[in-house]
Amino acid sequence: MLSLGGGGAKSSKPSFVSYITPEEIKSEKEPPKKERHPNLLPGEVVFCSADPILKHTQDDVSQRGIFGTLLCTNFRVSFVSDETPLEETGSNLGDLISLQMLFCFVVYDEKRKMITGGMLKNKYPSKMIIHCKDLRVFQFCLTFTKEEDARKIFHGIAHHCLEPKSLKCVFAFSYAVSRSPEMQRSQRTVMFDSKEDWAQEMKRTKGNCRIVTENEGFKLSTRLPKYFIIPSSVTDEDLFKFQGKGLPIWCWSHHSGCALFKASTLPVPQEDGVIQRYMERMLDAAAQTHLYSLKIEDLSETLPTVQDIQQSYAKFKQFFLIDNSTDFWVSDVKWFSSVENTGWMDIIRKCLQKAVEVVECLEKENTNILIMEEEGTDLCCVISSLVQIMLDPHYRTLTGFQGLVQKEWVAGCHAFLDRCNHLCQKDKESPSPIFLLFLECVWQLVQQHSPAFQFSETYLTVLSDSVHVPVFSTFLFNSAYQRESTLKAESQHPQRGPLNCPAVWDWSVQFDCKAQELFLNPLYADKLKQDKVLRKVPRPKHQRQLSLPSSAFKTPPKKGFFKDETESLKKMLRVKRISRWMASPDSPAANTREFYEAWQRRPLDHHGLLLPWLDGPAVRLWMQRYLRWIPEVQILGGGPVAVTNKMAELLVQVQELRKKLDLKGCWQPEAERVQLQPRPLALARNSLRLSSAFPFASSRNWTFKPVIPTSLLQSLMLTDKLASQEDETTEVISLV
Amino acid sequence: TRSESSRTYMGCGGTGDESCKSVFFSLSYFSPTSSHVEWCKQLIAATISSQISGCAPPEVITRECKVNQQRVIPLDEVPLVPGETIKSTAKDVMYICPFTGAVTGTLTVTDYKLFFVSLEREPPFILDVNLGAISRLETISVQSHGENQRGMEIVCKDMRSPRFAYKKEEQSNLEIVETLSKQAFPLSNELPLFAFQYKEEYPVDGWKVYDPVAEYKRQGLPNESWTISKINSNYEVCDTYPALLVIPTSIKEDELRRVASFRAKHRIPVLSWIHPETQATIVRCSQPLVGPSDRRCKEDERYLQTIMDANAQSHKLTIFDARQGSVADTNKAKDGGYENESFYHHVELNFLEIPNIHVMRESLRKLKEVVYPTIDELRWHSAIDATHWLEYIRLLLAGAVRVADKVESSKSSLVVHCSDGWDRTAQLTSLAMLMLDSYYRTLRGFQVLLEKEWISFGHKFASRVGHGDENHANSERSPLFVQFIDCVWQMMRQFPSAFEFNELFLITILDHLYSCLFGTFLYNSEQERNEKEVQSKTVSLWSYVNSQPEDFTNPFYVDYENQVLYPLASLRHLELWVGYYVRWNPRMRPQMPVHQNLKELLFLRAELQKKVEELQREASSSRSISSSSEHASSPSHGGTPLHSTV
Repeated sequence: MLSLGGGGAKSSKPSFVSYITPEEIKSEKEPPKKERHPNLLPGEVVFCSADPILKHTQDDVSQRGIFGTLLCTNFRVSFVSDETPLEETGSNLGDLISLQMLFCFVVYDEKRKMITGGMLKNKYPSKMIIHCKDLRVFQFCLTFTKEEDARKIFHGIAHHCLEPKSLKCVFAFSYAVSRSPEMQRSQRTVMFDSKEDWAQEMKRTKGNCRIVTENEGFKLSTRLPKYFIIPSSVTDEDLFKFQGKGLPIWCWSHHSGCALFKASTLPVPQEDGVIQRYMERMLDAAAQTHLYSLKIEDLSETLPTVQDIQQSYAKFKQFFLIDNSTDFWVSDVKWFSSVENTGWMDIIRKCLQKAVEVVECLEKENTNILIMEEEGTDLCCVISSLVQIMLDPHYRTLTGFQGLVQKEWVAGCHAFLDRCNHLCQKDKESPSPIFLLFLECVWQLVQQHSPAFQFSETYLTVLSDSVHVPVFSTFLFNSAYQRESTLKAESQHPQRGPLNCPAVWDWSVQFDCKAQELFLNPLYADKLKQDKVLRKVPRPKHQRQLSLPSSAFKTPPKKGFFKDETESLKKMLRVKRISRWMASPDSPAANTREFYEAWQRRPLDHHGLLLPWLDGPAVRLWMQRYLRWIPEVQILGGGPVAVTNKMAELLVQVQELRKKLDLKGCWQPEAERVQLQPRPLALARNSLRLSSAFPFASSRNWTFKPVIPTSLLQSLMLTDKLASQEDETTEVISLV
Repeated sequence: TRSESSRTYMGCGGTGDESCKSVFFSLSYFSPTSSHVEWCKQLIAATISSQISGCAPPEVITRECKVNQQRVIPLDEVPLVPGETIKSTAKDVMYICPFTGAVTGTLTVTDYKLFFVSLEREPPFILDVNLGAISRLETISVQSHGENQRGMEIVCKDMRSPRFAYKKEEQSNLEIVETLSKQAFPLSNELPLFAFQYKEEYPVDGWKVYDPVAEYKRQGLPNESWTISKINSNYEVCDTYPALLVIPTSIKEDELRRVASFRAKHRIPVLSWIHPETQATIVRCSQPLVGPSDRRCKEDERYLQTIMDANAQSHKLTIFDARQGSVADTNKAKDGGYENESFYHHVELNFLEIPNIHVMRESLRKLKEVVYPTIDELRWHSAIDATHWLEYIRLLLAGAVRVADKVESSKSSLVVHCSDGWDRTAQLTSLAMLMLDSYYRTLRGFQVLLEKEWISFGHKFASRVGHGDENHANSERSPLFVQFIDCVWQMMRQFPSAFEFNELFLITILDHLYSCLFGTFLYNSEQERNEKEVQSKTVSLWSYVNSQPEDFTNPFYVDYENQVLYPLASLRHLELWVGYYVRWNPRMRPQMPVHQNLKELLFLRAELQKKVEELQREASSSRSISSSSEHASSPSHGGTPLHSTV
């Protein structure tokens, strides 16, 4: 999908837009060169290469392939086709796989073996299957290559992609050293690495705490940011007492004055009561000396553990790493149950639910909230960022969101290096897709409340991929301390300051302007437009409740008969299953229900509070991220891109009409107020040629041949066969 | 009252605690489903609590008085459609709302609907159920604290089951139940269907939407190989087919009659759709009466040969038998069967393996259990899986894709049939036509498609839906049309800008499939509809729809002209139609309307366009800009809205 900007003078940046039409590619690509390597990035070195290698084109039923050269560099595994790029879409030339691959399978005599470090047999592998972290699957046939070359490339890939390595070897450093320094730092994103950024943030939210500067040299703690904010009444003595553990770190202030704090937990209390007293003082401070009541949420008690999350995702992603049609249709049969059984969707729901509970405390009860967790840098980050997105429209803009990720995650010391396992460590405990989980939750909000977000789902998908592109410093470190010390140590000219690694927010490193436009949501209701909607159009009554008009949602009065009587009724009748008909008030869902309903009754406001829907059908699968590479599920001419296209088309038309009016000099000030963002969307006009996987995968040869399930019959009748097939796959997994 | 007492699950004696026990006992005897136990408990719970809280609290009364003084039109007045009359009213009835708790109010039964209004809440709580949507009525009675309490459950065809509680002693309550059971099932009680009393007048006549000759002409028919035949004008050849049929030109009348006697219910192969370029055709019929002895019919064999020959592009004919192969074999043993490939030359037979109407009915029943009244969040997906509903949707879509692909890619003509050719056949041909022909994806075209493939070709709407009939257990009932509309919705989701109509249009169709307000879906065949003079005595649903088309238009619509759409028949892309099946649950309220944003923009564009045009006219320029203002503000139609409002 993405290719990084070509090295040095070459300015053409292949990006996902190049999949729009082959014609466009023709104009963009230079005449085919005979040299067999991709345009290397600054600092990129080819380790080994082999040819001819046959790459199976997955999107072709006939299992044809393309011959070319397979290379392994310190940055990626790359396949360069022998064929001229003119006759095919860009998917072969410059197809690059970031070194962050998941697994590598090798096929010996039709049998699959998963390769983990050091498990190589000396036998000659016939086929290599690569599963990437962004869920792409590649198959390379090695039988046409000289045996030695095949073994070399295969060992090279396995060694560089799957073996543990040291942080120094990460490509980002050699890239940062060699690249031309003219690229500037991303402009508008607040990085939260200076005192001013934090002061500004506190001012924006009208917070009333103090900025701690004592950690500038990381003397207080290496697990805390350089600057952070704590309640004013914490004494300097307490500040240093437990290396920052248990300190209520300020996240965000609500307009009512109450605030959200996060903290890491302290060791088990000793008998002398020192810790208890310290903790009491901390809680007191967080309550702003009894100005507000304080609620404490221990996330480790109510949410799944980091390991649970990892295990669930490991199961979940298996359903998307599909390399042949048969597996696809077999797994289609019990699709919903299979996805449910991984528990991934439920984890998403639980996180959103928890965030709603916190939001309720802030918004409705106006209490201060302290969320706690062992380190305070995993689920604390998820929940606090979600809460802020739901409450603060600033974080629903593109730059605001990037600032939030900087604030809560990067400056907030989420252990990206360990959680993303950038160094391929064999440690089973630490890797966990916590940040991805957060993006999943945000995606749920985006799909439920699309007009409230300035960024698109494509942006989220790209961001989730970028975590594994080892070029940016953003997701590379465990803490602010590690970032600073490493960048300092790696610097070639220590006197000129630390190494300048680009941040992921500098999107021009990855994408050209045209592609970056896809990050914006054309359905976003700008503030200006929103005002107009509110003024002119009454809130659209909603269409489905034929017999339950909005009045029906009103909760019964407090003294209403069911609310009060249910308890006694329960005792009297032992009615347990009545809850199916009437949610009993003591269930957790019922607690937030009233809050929900009150919110529902308010007029629609995309710039106000947002709550996610959490009932069964409302939490969905992030189709774009998970299904984009699977050719079987690409809807040609369909998918959400069709809607986006229509919207973009309309925007252009409106702008053209405006221009016309402008030329005639009768621009009316009244109309100016509803001016839309001048946003020339660069989508291809002909949405028919786009598939639902746009802008990621290229479509199946532009033919309109339908996909017909191959195993309709078997799926319904021959369950035995199905069962046996499933057994086979588990066998493969067990080889890990 | 006989029917009512038979539906009463128990007459409960004793008082106090005893009654509870006997409730459980007798219910477990009479009704095997646990939901009845719950229902009983609920009823008791509701009545007990009403006794505890005593008579109506004074504040409620005062508020009601206030309302009385202020209002000009009483809030609890029942809005009536023209021709509707109130039949019975009962006060102090309690509606046990599964979402917001019990609420007491007035229940009214008219000849068209059941209307419950409670002024206890602000704004007033209203429940409105078309009588046509009612599948069955159940009453139970319990005695608690010395009072006879009765409960009434109204099991509906549209995925809900409202429950009411009322006191047994009051005469008006008994009356209303009796009236309801009569009015809800007019045909069982020798009453007319409400469609014949509905007196609304619309500016557009929906009965003119479908003109078979015009539709066939649009398809390029008749041509040299196909003719529009009047042989069935008196419904003599086949009483479930329309009067006009498209058959091969070269077929003689006596041959045709012999073919008819060889096909189940005389449903001969007739043309449904012809490809404008390749002349490949979709032909529909019923199963051949082959029987266990492998009977042959030379005329039938020649007939299919003629169909194949009418298409010069291909020398093959494909037959899609929608049934499961094993079921087709069973049918063969019972005098039905399927074409033998060795007798029919160049014919290829495929089974699409779609289960029968009973399986579908059971699947939807299970689905209702999953979605109403409450949802189990944790097990939502596996519960949906267990109903198999989406799996059958997938099967149908996959079958239709195969049909469409055969015509489009292989350019070969094909024949679709199941057993009688009025259920699965209609589903498959109409879905394939929707994929192949962009005309059917317009608001008007879809109406034509339904009128043609479903209504005129004798899908047995009366039997499948059971309009006005109290026999809810009739095995003829099955939600095949609902399933088809669901498939259309799935296609709409996959191609959000390919359809001119919107989701509300589909929901409106399904609501009036049951409502009996319009004549469109009444009766089993064209012949029957003519006998009952449906066109002159009732209003068409399309009159209503086409009087306010903007409500039913998809703002994202882009004409995918001449574009074949293949939906993906993968469960990964199928989804439960929450907006229809779970719409009664207020927590399933749809997301904020994205459409609103777009409608704004469309409006803005239209305004700007108008301005530009005005200026151009002023400048008396000869050039004129095409004005395709999509936002036409047409006068909204008066009267009560018959669909859920946007």
